[in-house]
Amino acid sequence: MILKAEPDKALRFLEDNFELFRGLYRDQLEHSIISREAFERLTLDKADVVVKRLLDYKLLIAQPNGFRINEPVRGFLAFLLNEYKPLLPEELTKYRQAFRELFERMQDLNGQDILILAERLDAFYQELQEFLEHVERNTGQLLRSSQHLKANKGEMAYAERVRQARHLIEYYIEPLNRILDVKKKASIANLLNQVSAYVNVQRFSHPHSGIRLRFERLHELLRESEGRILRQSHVVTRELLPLIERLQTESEILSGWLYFLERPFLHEVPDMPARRLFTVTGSNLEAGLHLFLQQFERRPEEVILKTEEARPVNARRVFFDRRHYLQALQQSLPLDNYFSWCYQAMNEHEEEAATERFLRISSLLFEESDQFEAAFGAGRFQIQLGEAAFDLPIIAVKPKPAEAEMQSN
Amino acid sequence: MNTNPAVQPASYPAQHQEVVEALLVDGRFLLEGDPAFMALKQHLGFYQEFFRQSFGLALEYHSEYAFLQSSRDTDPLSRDICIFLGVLCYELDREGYNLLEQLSFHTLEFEQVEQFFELSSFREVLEATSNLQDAQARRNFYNRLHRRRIIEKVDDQTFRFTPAHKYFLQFARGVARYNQRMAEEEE
Repeated sequence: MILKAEPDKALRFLEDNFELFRGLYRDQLEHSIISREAFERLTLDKADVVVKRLLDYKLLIAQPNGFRINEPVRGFLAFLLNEYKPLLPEELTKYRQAFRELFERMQDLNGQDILILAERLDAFYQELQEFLEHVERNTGQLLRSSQHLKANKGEMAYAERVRQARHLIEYYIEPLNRILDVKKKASIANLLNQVSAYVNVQRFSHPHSGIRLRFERLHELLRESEGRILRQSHVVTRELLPLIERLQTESEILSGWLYFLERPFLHEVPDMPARRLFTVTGSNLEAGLHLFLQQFERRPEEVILKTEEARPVNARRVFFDRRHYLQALQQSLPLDNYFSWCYQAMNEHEEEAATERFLRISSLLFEESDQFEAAFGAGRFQIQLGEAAFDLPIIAVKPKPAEAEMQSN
Repeated sequence: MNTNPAVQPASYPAQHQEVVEALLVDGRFLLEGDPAFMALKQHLGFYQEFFRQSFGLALEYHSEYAFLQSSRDTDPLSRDICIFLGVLCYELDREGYNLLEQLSFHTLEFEQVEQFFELSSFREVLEATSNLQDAQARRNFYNRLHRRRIIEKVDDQTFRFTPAHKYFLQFARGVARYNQRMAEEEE
């Protein structure tokens, strides 16, 4: 009881110094007690009157080795700040004891002492409420600390994370799961199920109306609690356990890699499959060989392309000089053997003897037939030109008389 | 298995050639979903015996992947993969990704991975690893991973890890546990 102030004044004081209370609360949460040093540190910039009122209003209680926040205030702050220490499942199992005891007494006294039965029903109701709140707070807190661990806000080493994760699983999450698992006979959820069945009957059959009402109320809470416990149990099995297991695996992998990367070239490595190239067998041998040979097929083609490009530059094409041969023919007249002359004229004038050239020269006589007169002689003769052999008649040529006359005139 | 093939021709499972080529010739991981993996699974005993008797190699079979152990003392590719995965895991975790989820179910972008490697605090280790030291070397390395079926290229920009990567993660866990045990023994 606060003697030195009105209740609302105390509340206003708490409001005015809320940051200080937050600091005190967190310190106590961590160390169970606020040491004198911590207290000095937290109240360093506070006026003496504030420190005095903390104690005067009984918000803080002095202990031999420090201070504690008064329990109701601590509960209130915990509620406001939503920061708790997860309860050890051992702390929760005490509810099982209470439930069992109350349940047994309820059945014993059936209808005999109405007053104590009513009180026990009320107590059961109260205990159940508390239990549910604790469980919900606990799973919430565990989830938060797992997520915190996962995000690695504390920047701790992977090995330390593995250790903490394992700790959470072993001492908090799995035991909590055992408490909440309806299928396990020793679980609180299972006990509450039994109570529920009994209460369900009693809420109709009990002779006293006030008791029936209490049974009714308890029944409702029990029904509600079933859903709430199931939800918490789901949080544990579907979220918390996978999260923490994944966290443990991940941290283990990461810490393993870190060990490895400390001496990556000396550390042993896992055995790997190796490729084995077999030279003769194998379905892709033919294709491989084909590909290999293709590269050689291409090369000559490239060379040919180049020579083709070069040829027009090197080759000297000498055009047929018709005029030259015509003049030569006119000057050499008359001739006894025309084709023989053609062959000689070609050899004199052309660098290379060629069939094509020879034929063009020989055709002069027939093209200019109005200038020359030709007569076949007796016999034939052969000319070998390259690969062609010509079998030719002997033709005598002389200028046409008309022209000869004109020239002479 | 002392039947003489010359006397009595052995009959092989339907996918025999694929199984042998993948495991022995290509030296790659067979993955669940490959038709050859199915054949391997159905004739597991036969293949374990086959590879042991014919080549003296142990077949490593897991529910999602299988491969032939090389029986070599050191494998440079294995070391490169460990360094690659180690650095990648570390960087993914540092960036706040869900490591296992990311590796198992998501695609990764080459560009993003390249960025991790360019800025990695394991620069020295990477520079000392010729297959990982620069972007060009890593491009070749990705192709090798693809050929060995450790990653699967989705397109030119993205890839995903195949279940084979779990083999290396398992190795890392083993390393961690070993070291943990050693530390506990020292205490």
